[in-house]
Amino acid sequence: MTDCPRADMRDLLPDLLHDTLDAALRAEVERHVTTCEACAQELALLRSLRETLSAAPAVDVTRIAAAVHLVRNTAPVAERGRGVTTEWRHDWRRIAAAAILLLALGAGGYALTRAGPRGTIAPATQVASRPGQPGPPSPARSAPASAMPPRGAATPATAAASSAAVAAPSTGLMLGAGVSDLPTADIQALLDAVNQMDAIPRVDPAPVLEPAGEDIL
Amino acid sequence: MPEPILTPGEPGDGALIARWKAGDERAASQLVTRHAAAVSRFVASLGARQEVEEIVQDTFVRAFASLEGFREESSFRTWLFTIARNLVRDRARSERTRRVTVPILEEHVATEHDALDRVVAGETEDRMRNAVQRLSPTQRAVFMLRVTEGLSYREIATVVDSTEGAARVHYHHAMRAIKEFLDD
Repeated sequence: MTDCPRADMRDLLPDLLHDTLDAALRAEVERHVTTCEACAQELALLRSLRETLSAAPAVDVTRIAAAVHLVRNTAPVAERGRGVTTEWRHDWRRIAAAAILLLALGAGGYALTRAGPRGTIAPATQVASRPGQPGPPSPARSAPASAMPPRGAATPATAAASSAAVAAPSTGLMLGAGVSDLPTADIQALLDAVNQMDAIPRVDPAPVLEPAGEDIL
Repeated sequence: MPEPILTPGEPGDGALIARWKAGDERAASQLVTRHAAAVSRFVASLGARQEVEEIVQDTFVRAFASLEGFREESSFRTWLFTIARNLVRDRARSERTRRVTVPILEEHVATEHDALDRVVAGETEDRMRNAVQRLSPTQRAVFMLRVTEGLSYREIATVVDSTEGAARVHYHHAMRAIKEFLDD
């Protein structure tokens, strides 16, 4: 089988085969083929090759389409769901920790208001006083200035409360000992313990986007 | 390249892609149905006979997963061919690394009967098929894209990551080799 010397015409034979030439070029190539035995043979060969090689191994189109849909339906949702729920859970932990801390501080403050200067519960009559009548002298008022302990020094009562808190920081506030009685280190330990609590309920929003049973963490 | 023959009123690839991006999943099914055979044929021609369906599926999954980045500078089918060829090439490299014989290697000759071989019968057709399979991988890819798919040299260059001129040379060398084989 010989080759036509017109390489430009041979170049266009596959396009003639696939009918992709514009009308003018198609007419020109067809005229050439009718007068050129080599190009006519090559065109016939190309037609046979196309037919022979056009058979394609069978593939399951339905399965392929399902795989494409799966990619679309799972990946973005998973990403979106993962982000939302994780963010929500983190926020929820912060909120719960803050709430517990506030409750603890509130309980401590309440205990302080009910506690006497030495850790005893002061009777209500001692707290309230009539106008115009002097109330019972407070220890601070009645004690001479020289008897006041220096700033930072612990009285026996506060020292006892502090030592109790240091000895059992995890027990938190003891009755009669306020948060202000705890050293800074113990307060920090308390805050750390609150932050590390695993018992904080993990309440995610109801419309979780992840499939059931899938670990979103 | 010529688009597949569409029935009147049938949307083109561009319209289906737009519908897919808008959330119409049926558009993806239509695109898969329209192009799966061509991609399958091309993958088989590259020599990946045992893994055709897997590679075709990977091709579509990757194509749709990155459809947002498809600039439509080439046709959708050309883009699919490019992805398919890259997948076949990556697998061939991986297999060579593991020192496993890969059907895509040039020294492999078409002596086995496989699914494609069983589709057609006859001595002349077998000789044609053998002639094509004796081509180098690049020549075979270029020839198949030109003759069975009707791609232009420019599109072929995109698929095989070459130049338009190189694609033209590969095609004419392939044609010459096939003629010589058939004349023997």
